[in-house]
Amino acid sequence: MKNAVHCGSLESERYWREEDLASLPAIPDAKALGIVQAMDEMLFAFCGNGDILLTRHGMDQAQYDYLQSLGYSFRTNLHPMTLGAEEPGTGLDELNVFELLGRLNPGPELSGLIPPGSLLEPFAVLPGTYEAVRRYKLLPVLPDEETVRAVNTKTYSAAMRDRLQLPNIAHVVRSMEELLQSGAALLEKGAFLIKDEYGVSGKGNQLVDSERMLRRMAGYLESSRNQGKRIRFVLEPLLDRETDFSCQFHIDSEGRISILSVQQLVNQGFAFGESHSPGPSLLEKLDREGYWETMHSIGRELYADGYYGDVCVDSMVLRDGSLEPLVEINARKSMSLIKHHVDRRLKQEGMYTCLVQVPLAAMGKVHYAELLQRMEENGSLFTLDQGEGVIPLTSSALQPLDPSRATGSTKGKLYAALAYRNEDSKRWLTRTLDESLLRTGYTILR
Amino acid sequence: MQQKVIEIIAEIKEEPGLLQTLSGASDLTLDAALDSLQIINFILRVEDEFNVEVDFDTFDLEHLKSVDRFSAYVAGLAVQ
Repeated sequence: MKNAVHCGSLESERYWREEDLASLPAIPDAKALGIVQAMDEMLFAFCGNGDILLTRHGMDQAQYDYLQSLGYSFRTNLHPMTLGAEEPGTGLDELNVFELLGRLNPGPELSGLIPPGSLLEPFAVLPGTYEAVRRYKLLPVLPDEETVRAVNTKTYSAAMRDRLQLPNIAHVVRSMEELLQSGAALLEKGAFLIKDEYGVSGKGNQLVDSERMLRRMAGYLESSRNQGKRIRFVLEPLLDRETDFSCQFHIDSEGRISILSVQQLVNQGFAFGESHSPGPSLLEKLDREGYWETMHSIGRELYADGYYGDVCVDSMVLRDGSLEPLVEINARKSMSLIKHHVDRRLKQEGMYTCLVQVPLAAMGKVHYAELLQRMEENGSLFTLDQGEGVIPLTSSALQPLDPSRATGSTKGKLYAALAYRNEDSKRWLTRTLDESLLRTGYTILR
Repeated sequence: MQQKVIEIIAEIKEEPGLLQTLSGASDLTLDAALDSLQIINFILRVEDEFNVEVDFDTFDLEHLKSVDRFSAYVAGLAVQ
């Protein structure tokens, strides 16, 4: 069996977005981009024995050694991918990882890592993926880039509800007049969301709860940044959600669909907070209400449209108990799929697991190895023997290279999986993790 | 204005405790821990409160380095 090369940019939507689309208000934040670019380390979760993981910033040696101690046996780059001295300042941060791979001088570390003939396993198919495949003589079993781009839009998800004869609350607007008209009609019943075509959790959704806000959004969309750009948004009434969850499934190149997992999400506002496996009552509800058949139907339609690979469908249960099976289709791998793979590999009998994120800041250089050592000493670091503890999933995202090269504090995030016996042990692990971070020199931003 | 700005932060974060812990020197992204989405909603809420309009295209994150700096920025918009 051929080894796979795992690689990707988790901020996929950024690279799919068409440049001529009007955008909602946003403040460029180079530090936030630095964090998400460093999250590609989490793709180790997909690595089988002998596979290769390529990351943008290079994994910390201490993290690599730790993962090896958990039985992972992959090879990876320990140094950042750079374009090299011959191309300084060429907008490195604007490139996704495949564009970067396509342009960089591979150097001995990367050349030795990428065996020709390996299978490329991307987080998502992005611009530049096929060029990287050709350059490194990898084997693609991948859908067409334009197909991937199209099936990841909000308008595609909205149209899919009609195709499957599901209730459809979405209003697609393609002009300012439609935005104002549909927005005003929605406001009569309550608040609504303006969704960007390629919006993601925490970015690209704007809540509108007053006429003044609607006018402000309209004004912004007519501003200089958006002049001459196309209006294309999806408007949806704000749902009274009780439970957010997502379903991960895979469509193979022959169109066979395998349901892999369901993960429940505890969001903070519209941003990711924590994910964990659902309890039996949610799964029973999904069985009763034909949820799995809906997922299969989405898979069949995606395949008919030319897509195959990993899919994560966001779903909801509303406070009145009704099920919204299709909130959004993400035709790519996902954080929830990472969680599922960590579970598959490390979850032991009688344990619960969840995936958490801890937003951080640090003033000076902080050494990741010290954090791991401290966690090992205080007993909070997961080991195979204990079967319980915190599994840090990223090293360079804690203090990523700041694309703006700004001085001062750096912002980062720790993504970690927790394996715990009961709620008391979860609370102890969370508290001990926080203490370990603080003592290592990080400030926790909550 | 400083107190009103702190009240809006506490409202956006849904953390009334911030009314006690934040001061004019507090950094909005570090001490108040506003994330990118919350910053947008915070600014939109401030626009509403003080009847000003922020230019998102030219907005500098340096304005968020302290409540006082942000308040001065908003005061500057109000007199324009």
